[in-house]
Amino acid sequence: MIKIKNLEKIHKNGFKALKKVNLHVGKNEFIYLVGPSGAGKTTLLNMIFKFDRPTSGEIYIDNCPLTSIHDRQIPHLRRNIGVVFQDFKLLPKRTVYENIAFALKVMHYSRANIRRKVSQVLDLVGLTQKESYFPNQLSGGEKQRICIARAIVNDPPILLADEPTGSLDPDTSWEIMHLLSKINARNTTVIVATHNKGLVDDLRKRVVTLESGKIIRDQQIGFYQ
Amino acid sequence: MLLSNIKFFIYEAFIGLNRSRLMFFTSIATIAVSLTVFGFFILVSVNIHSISNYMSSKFEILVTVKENLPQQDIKRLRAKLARMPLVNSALFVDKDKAWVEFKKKYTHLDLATLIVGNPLPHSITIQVVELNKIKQLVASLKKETDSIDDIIYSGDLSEKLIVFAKYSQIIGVSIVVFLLLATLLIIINTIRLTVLARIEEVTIMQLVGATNGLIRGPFLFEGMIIGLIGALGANLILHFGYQYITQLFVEFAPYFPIVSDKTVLFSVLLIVGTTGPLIGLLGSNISISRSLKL
Repeated sequence: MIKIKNLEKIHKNGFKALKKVNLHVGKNEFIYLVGPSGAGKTTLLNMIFKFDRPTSGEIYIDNCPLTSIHDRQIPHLRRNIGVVFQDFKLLPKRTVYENIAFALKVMHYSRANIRRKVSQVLDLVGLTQKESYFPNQLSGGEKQRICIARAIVNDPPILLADEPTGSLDPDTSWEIMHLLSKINARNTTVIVATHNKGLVDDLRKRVVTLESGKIIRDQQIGFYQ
Repeated sequence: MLLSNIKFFIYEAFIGLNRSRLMFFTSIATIAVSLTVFGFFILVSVNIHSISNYMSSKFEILVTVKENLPQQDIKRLRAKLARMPLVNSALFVDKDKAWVEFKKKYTHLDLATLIVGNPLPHSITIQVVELNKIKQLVASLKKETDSIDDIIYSGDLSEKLIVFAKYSQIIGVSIVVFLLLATLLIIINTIRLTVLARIEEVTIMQLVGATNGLIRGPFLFEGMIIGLIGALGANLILHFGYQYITQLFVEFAPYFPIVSDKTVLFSVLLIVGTTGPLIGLLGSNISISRSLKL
């Protein structure tokens, strides 16, 4: 599904964020990307959905090299990759329904289809009753569920989550992780960058550890070490 | 696809405007004020040009004819002068009538005891076609030595008037161009602020896979609406403001040649009315293009 070969990212100030990273992510896999702050987790995720460009190396998604993708095709690539952020990135002046529907609108879904798909995804994340709420009327956990709902509403084959539980309490973090596992079970490849040792150790998935821009460990059923 | 895009732009633009009302009204007010100043200076420039034309048209050359020149020859001279290409009109002034007028004008002087008889000659008053060709005309008048006694005109004043007309035009056009640029910068900055206030929205749009065209569309539409409403506001102020000023001049300074022609005012309103949405469109395009590169 995702193949990363010799990926390097050197920032303008000379800082090496990623050093010769090689990774293979199979279809419908669930991967934890762990490591200390500044290890390169966010940089790596940003590269996968082309929000940042590598200095060298290549990323293939379904054997398609991302460096060969023209700027005009980037939006189409992003429609196949759902992204979840620690700070939610919801449109503050739009309701829950509008936030989720927006992702479908840019893909020119019909109004009836938008209605149907938003209802389905709100049901999945358990927030059907809150579709007319604005983000500032929701709790952190609810905001993150909406962010996840928006990321998966068009059934992308890949879901990337960058510290999705970073600003949530332990119970809510558990709920979010279970939701991500549920999404993974619906045939979606999920990559979660996290600091949350407890969640990684309890859920027992593949764990890839990054340190100073390098992959130092890759365990099929791993722990946060 | 095109129709659904347009519907998307309009819908998103109105959502954007409705949810950022304060910014929306501030932008409209800023643009309305800028365009009012711009339109006002166009009107000032038009009026300066009109004053300069008016003064030029009032500029005359007085030609005195030789004493004892027969009436027949005076008539012939007047007709000859009137036919000259640089002459707008040539009017014969009878010396007796001129003397009556002169006495009427200076009633406080005891002219009867000071001056015996009529000292004034017959004369022809000439209005020139173009003020800057007055010297050329005077040169050709000077050739009429048989019939013309003297040529009286304010050479210095005409020179100054020519310079005034020339510079008033240059300054007028410069002010209008300068203000157009200033208005453009103000509007670009105002719209840039509205875009910056929603930069996160632009990023989110990019993240969910919106194409640059789809992101740009609502902002362009918003810029155009803000520019259009701002221009309408400016036009209302200019229309009623200028009418009021014209009325004041007609009442208190009727001799002042203020331009009261409706077509001139409507032309200025048309310029302001089209400048608003165009600059709004351009401003938002520049702002959103910069933001999309972030």
